[in-house]
Amino acid sequence: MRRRLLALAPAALVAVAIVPWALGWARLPDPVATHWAFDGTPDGSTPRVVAVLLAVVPAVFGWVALARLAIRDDAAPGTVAPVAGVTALLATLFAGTAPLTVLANLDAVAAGAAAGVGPLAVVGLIAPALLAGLAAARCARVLERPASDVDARDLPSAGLLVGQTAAWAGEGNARWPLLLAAAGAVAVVATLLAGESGVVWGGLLLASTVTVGLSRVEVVVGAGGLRAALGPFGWPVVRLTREQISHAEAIEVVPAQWGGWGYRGSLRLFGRAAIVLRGGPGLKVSTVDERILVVTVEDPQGAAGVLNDLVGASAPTGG
Amino acid sequence: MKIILDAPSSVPLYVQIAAGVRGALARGELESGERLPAARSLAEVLDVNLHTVLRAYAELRDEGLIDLRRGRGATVVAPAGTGHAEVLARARALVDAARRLGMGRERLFALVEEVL
Repeated sequence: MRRRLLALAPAALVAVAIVPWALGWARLPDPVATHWAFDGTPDGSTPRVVAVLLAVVPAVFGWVALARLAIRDDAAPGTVAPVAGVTALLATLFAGTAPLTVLANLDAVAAGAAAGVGPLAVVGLIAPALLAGLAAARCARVLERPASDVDARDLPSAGLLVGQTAAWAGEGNARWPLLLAAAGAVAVVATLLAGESGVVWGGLLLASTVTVGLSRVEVVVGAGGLRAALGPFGWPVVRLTREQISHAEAIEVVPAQWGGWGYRGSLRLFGRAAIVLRGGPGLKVSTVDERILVVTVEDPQGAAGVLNDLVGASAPTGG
Repeated sequence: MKIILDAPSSVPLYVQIAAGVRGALARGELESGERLPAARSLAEVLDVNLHTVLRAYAELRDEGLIDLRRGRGATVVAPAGTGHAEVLARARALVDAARRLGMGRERLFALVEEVL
């Protein structure tokens, strides 16, 4: 069912891209306004045909790409959902320009006379794209094969005896986010002084603040489960209870395999999340419902050993 | 840092937690300047009461091993390996005393087992 949805639903995108243009064609100027300034007035235009292609081509590409994904059967876990999500998001974003552009330019004498497109319209463009991306990612998860079974003998163990409990605390650190945030702060000041709109320096400020949060992650594991806190303020926090955890391993994290640096993915949406501060040793925790969390920390063997013993995943030691 | 607790033991939990941190320090798993996990985080994953952990941290602070500061949390101030030297010295003293009595290896081990 999800597979069929993934293959057929994107046809709607092509319709969204074509129908407004077809209906409004006679009442549109040429060139049409296709770019608006922050205050809503049109300040850029392209020939009509180009604007149509800008909406239709990505929609068709998106449909074909998603349909091709939908016929796969044996994809590696975590590879298909993000690809489907991003494809659907981009295709919807571009297709969505069709109704917006056509409506704004309807009955306008020339591109310069087109109606204004305010920030609310931008929300109307981005929101459906995000929703489509999330929906596609969720559908695509069924295409991934389940994670392979791990031999209990290969799992790290802390050698806990019956009746003992343990805790492990560790952290992962990185310096690059601080450098990036510092550069961002400089950019904020520069754009402020240059008199740029609040959206620009406000966005830069937000981005810089979020980046600082990627400089440190503190992980604590024990009988209560796992708790990973990001950044100097210890927020946001990722939690897994002991009941949710199936087993844990120490792995070598290659950022490219997990989508890059930072907080990648989402446990709730994609079933896979990775907190990648740097390449190197990391803790990989698998849940009972086959979701995966990866965190780059020092001594992941110690953490995995404690977790496996506490959830009963490693071969038990006598008391 | 890894600490192990004996749930059914008669030793109070906060004593075990403090001992666990001291052990981690002695083994070099903790370095001076390193931050211990927030008491709330440790209590959450250990599944114990927050005040149990706070009591353990307070004891370690009173011994001068860690520093508790608002906003910064618990920071290790003692150098890595603290405590190890003391245990080593006492072990040497024990072996010396046993030798002076002509006590053999096996008897010494049995004696230590008795005390453990």
